[in-house]
Parts: sequence; C-alpha cells; structure tokens
Amino acid sequence: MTWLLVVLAIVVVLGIAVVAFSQLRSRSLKQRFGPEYDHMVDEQGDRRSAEAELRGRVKRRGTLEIRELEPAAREAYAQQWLTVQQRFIDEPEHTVAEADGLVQTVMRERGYPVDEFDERVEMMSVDHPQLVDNYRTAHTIQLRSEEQAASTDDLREAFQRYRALFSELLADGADAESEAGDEHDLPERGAR
Amino acid sequence: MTTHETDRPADYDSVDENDQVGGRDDPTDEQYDRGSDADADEQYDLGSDADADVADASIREPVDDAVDEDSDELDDTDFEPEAEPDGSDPVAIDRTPGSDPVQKLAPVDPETALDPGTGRYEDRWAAIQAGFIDDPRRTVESASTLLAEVWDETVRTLTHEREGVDGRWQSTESSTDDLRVAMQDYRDLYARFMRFRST
Repeated sequence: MTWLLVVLAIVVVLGIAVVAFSQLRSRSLKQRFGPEYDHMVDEQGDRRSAEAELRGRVKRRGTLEIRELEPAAREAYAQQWLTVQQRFIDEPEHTVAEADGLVQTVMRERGYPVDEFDERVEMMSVDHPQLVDNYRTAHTIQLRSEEQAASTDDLREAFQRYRALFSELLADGADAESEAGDEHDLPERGAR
Repeated sequence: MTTHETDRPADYDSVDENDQVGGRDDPTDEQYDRGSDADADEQYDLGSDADADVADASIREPVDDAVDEDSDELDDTDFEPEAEPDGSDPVAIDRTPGSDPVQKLAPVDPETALDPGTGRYEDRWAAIQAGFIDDPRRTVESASTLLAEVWDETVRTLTHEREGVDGRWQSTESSTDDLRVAMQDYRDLYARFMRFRST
C-alpha cells in the first residue's frame, strides 16, 4: 500500500516537472521571439511544431559565426544607403531593389547565409525578431513591384522597412556577440 | 564690389561648424532649431558672397572647405558642449562613437534643412531629398521653401549687382574708360542671366 503511494507520488511529481519544464521552455521561446512566436504558431497551426521550428532556428544560428562590421565598413554602408535613399524620387522600384541588395550584402559580410529569402528571414528572426515582420512586408511589396503592382507609397514603405533592418544590421556588433552566447545556451537548456 | 565681403570669413566659419548638424544625424528637434533665427540674416549673405560670381556661388560653391565625410566628427565636437550641461538631450549624449554612422540613417526631418545653419545649399537639398522616404508631403514643402529661398536670394543679388554697375557710369563725369568697364560688367551680368534663362 505504501509503495503504491510512493509510486503515485513519483508519477505526480514527474508529471508536474514535465509540464513545468515545457512551460518554461515555451516561455523562454516566447520571450525571445516575441511576435515571431505567434506568427509561427499561426503558420504551423500548433504550438509544438512552431516551437520545434524556432528551436531549430536557434540551433542553426548557433552554428554561424557572426562578425561585427569594421567601423569604416559601417560608415561606408551607411553612406551608400543614404545615396540610394536620395535617389528614391527618381527610381522608386529600383531603389527598393537596391535596398534589399544592400541588406543582403551586409548580412553576407556579417556571416549570415543569404541564398534563400526564407533562410534570411529565419536567421533574422533569431537575432532581430522584432524586425522580421518589416523584412517580410518589405519583401512582399518588392515582389509586387516586380509585377508593377506596388504604388509609390507601398515602395516608400518597403524602403523604410528595409532601412529598419539595415540600420540594425549595421548597428549591432559587440552586443550581438553576447546575444549569440545566449543562443548557444538555449537549446542546451532545452536538452537537459 | 559690395559691402558684404568683409564679414564673410566669419560667416563661413559659423556655417561650417553647423554644417550637417541638424541635417541628417540627429532625430531630436532641439538640435535643429538652434541658432536658426538669430543667424538667418547673416546667413542670407552667404550667397551674395563673391559678387563676382553670384549666381553660381549661391548654388554651387558658397563654402569650399566643408567636409562631408567628417560630418560625424563635426557633430561630436558640436553636440557635446551643448547637450551635456543641462543633460536635456539624452540622444546626443547616449550616442556611442560606434553607432554614429547608423545615426545617419535615422529618419530625417525635412524641415531641419531649412535652417540656414545646416550648411551649404547642396547639403540642405540632399538632406531634404533623403527625407522623402519618411514624410513625402513635408519633404516637398521643404523643397519648395528652399527653392524659393535660393531663388529670391539669387534674384536679389543679381539685382543688387546690376544696380551697382548702374551707379558706376551714370555720372556725367564718367570717362570713356569707365563706360568701357561698365560695358564689360553688363556683358558679364547679361551672360550669366542668359545662362540662367537657358537652363
């Protein structure tokens, strides 16, 4: 009788531990990804696969070695961006495409994989989750503009959104290193 | 040739220091406004500099030693003394040297470039044009204002010059050589005016 109670108690404690652990893990993912977390839940349809996907991204991000830009490069890219921005009034579509190109150039230089848009979004969602939505929206507008289906104001918005991400990519450096440290921790914490 | 020449170097210097200050880098309004009104009249003379070549000077080359590339450094030396004493400008204080280039990308307030203290016309125009991304309507308003400013100033200066030549030959005591020189001056003004008309 007593050993039955002991077994029951162990089962209950284990159950609580499992639930608590997965809640903790959810919360940390939620905190880390913010709106991107909800976006993934919407997209995947359920929490479990959304979380698996996000954890996968963190893991992949952990394998990358992200570099900081040299101050001179930073300055040069900022200048390049301004030059493009000033030309917006002459060639809105073209400058939006150039803005996208500059974003990718800086990503590549910093060590991100850039071949596929999805890949870029995923890595940005890890390092700059609050800006991923900007990136997606800008990209969507740009695709529409290739079919001449984007208004000038849409293009202006796309340009602004690319700029938000671009500034962030230029700005972060030293502090990105410490974030990267956290990223390494996260999947391990989950595995333990 | 005109009365403005003596003050000019001082004006230039002050313009230089302010060059770019509010132009692109700083999202705070306080910085933009500084000195604008008090300096406005002085700065106006900027374009009437070198009456020898007014139309060109006011548009292209009022200041030849402004250094675009160094704008960030200029900013730093410019901002800090102003921002620190009362601590009222956290943005200027918080800026770390490393993030400075990125500040350039901060949304531009097009009206800031209307402050004559923000530098050469071409820099002010460039700053306005970059602002289109953030506020198209106000950018266009600012462009209109800046164009009107350059326009009026140029007309004023040309008129002033023409009247200067008028005064140099109309006296009955003018020699033939005075008239010859006046004829040359008119020819130069005429050529510049026609160049204007043709563009």
